[in-house]
Amino acid sequence: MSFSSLSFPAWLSGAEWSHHGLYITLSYGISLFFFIFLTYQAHQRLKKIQQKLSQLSSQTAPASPSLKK
Amino acid sequence: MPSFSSWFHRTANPGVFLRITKPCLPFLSGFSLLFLSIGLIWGLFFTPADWQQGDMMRVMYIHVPMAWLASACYFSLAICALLSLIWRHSLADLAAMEIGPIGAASAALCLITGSLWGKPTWGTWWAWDARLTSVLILFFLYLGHIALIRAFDDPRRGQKAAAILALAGALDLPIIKFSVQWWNSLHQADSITLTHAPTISWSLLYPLIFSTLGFTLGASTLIITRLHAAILEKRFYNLLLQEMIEEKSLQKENTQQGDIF
Repeated sequence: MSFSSLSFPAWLSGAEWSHHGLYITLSYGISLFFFIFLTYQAHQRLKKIQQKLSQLSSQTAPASPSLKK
Repeated sequence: MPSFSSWFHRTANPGVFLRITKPCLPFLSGFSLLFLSIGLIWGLFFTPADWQQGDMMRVMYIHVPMAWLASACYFSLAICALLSLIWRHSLADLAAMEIGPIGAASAALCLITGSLWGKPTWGTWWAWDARLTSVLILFFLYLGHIALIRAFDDPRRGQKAAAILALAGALDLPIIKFSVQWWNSLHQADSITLTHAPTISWSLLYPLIFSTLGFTLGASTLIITRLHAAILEKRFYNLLLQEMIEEKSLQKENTQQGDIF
């Protein structure tokens, strides 16, 4: 396996671009976009609920010590 | 020495699950990124083109992991359903709720990338072929599960109905696996089996192993992160409810004291 076997130009340039390159790019693009989006969404959700929890426990801590747990 | 059963029940506790899985997350996501980068870059730029399909076979490095994830997520969903119905594990219900959307996304991506692969190689975007149709049914099963688990005011009823659907739908998994053997299919037969040597060249197989591993670890990280969020959300609402109850009982006590004096 070497850099001479790099097949980049074959499917991303010239006449093949019109369909093969487009289909390959679309497949990778859509799949990776969805996975990155879902990961971002999950992290945002986790961050939000962690903030809410810390806010709630700081509000209620003096009144109810059991909520600190 | 604690038995497997007691260890299993202890680990299925949401608090213990959080404690055990939290330190694993950075490693899981790190290895996922590493394997995905190796698999996808190797598959896109370094593997030789297929003699018959040319460069279009590079879609395999996305399509096959998506197909694997769609089936693996559903298998996990069925296991969660079983645990929920037999032991009523709250963690199993939460896990089922979080696995569903990831499995549905994987099944949808498997169908989309398959379609994009099918057009130049088969000459059609879609065919009512046994393999394709059974994966489409899997996608609808996921959608049904997602809808059903949230459909009732009483979450317990929704979880039970969705668990029954998940178990019944598990019958689709062997149909997907053996569809290419049982029926004449446009879809190619399995290139990798447990009993025979792979029919795919090793130069094409290595990047596939890396990308499948990468996507599997990535999906596991995603599901665990979502599960962490779900556990904390549940904890938050329980705390809120507890606070409201305490406030209400305090108010009641005050009014009762007011009545006395």
